[in-house]
Amino acid sequence: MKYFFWLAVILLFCTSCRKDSESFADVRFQIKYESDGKELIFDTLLYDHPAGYKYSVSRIQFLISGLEAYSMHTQMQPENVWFIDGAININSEFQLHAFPCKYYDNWSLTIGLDSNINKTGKLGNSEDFLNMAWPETMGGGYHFLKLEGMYKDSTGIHGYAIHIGGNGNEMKQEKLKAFTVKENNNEIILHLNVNEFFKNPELYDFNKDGNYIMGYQTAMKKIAVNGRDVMFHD
Amino acid sequence: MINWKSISVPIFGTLIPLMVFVTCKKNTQENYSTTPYNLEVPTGFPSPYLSSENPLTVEGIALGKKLFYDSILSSNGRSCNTCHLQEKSFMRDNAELKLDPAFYNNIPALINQAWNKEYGWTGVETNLDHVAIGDFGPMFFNSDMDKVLQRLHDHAQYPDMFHKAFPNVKDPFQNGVLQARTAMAIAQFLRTIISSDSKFDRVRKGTASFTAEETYGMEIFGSEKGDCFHCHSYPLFQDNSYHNIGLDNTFNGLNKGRYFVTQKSSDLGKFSTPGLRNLSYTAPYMHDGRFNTLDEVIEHYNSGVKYSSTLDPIMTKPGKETGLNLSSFDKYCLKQFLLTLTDSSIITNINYSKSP
Repeated sequence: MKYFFWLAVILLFCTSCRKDSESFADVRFQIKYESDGKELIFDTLLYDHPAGYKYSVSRIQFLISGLEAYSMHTQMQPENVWFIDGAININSEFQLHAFPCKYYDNWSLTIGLDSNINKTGKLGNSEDFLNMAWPETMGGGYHFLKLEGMYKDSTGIHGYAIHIGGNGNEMKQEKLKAFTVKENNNEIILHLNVNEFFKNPELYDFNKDGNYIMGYQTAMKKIAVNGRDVMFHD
Repeated sequence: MINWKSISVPIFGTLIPLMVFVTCKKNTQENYSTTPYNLEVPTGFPSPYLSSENPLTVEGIALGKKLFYDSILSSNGRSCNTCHLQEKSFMRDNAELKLDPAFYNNIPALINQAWNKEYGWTGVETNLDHVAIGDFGPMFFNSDMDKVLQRLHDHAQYPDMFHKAFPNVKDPFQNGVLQARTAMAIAQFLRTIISSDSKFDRVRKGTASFTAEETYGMEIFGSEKGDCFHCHSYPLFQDNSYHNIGLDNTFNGLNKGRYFVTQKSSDLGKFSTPGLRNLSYTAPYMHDGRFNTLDEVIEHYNSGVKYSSTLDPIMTKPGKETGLNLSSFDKYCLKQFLLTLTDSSIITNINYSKSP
């Protein structure tokens, strides 16, 4: 009798462990855009740039890669790369499929690509990735970020196009809170504060640093450093 | 004890008609089964946008091609081919056609349509399967649908072709059904028109090489100097998006563009990015055909850009607010590169031509 009791306990224990380690669920990430707390409405010239003028956003497209999530004993590093288009709601979300159900105390993701992936053609022939190609004549690879719009200073209205690419300019997002993947209904709302590209640690002024910067490494680097904490979540 | 004799009559009485029914049904399906058509995607092209409701079939494409070239659909002698000439890469200048002035002057070339998300200069139609339905209206075919239906019904080949192309449709010769299936068949044919054999493509495959001028032109195209690549992305030379490229600074009538679809003032003056393949056949250029030559188009980007609040931000570079400031040699080389996108096989390919 005693033998059967302990066998039942061991069996129960094993089954529980097994269930824990084999439980997976989808996780949906939704990105919401803002400028210092104001919800972003595209093509409206009403956001306060830290350099003291108003600006609008007409396009924000970027690549997300390098998602890393750490649980107590494990590290998850899915190899997905997602194209995000802020102007199209459906593309402002991305999903992890069959992710282990755990508590993740630390996680991060990257806007842009690691140098191992940032090679022309590496992301295949999806139209979204083809449209993000960084020309081979400029070194190849992909745009990490396209941020475009207008700004109005004392001299009038001007356009800006902040295009970031090039190895080393990817922007790792680390200010992300812990989360738990449950067996269902996993939705994480990520906020992207566009204004963070233009401040912290350094002010980025279109008039001084450049309003059209594709290929200009000094300007791209400044945006890339500022862009390391543009995302946060509730 | 089972009395087999007493139940054999009802069993056989039920089974035999059932067997006959099943056999007949099978025969019917065999008569009208379709043959799937595998669209060959050129190397480097993205996946096409195909329709799950209207899958490509050999029979559907054959019907679509026949209808494309047939004036049986109209009351004025027009067919799709009237406005979409194969020798012009399936486009035509409205100035020649004298269509209703309420229509955009320049008819888009119907090549690589399987890679478009939306159709027309403003993206007013989101499904290629529906595009041809609009052609029955007074502006194009001015069709009397009862007469069209009767003509197709009485035709020696069409009834059989419709049944073969759409075997699951009980009666394709009902008015609404006929229009929809006609448009779907034409859409199937259009999805097969693929341009991917230009000099540019052969250079990519390593079977041809650019001249020095073409190489330099490609550098201008694919760098900040010309900045064409942001909207005209490889390999389709379009981006399935809408841009105001500074043609006008005020927007009246048809020049409002994408605004007609979205009603957003931020879309005033925006038009879909046309693919650049086969430019040498598709003059005149722009939605209203305002430029007759490629030189005029290049000169617009070089010195003619007009500011408005919806002008694409990438056309507002400091010091280049009205254009690219290219030299004559730069412009010449850019044109030489653009001409390498010519795919002459499109205008001679018998798969796209009117059947004898």
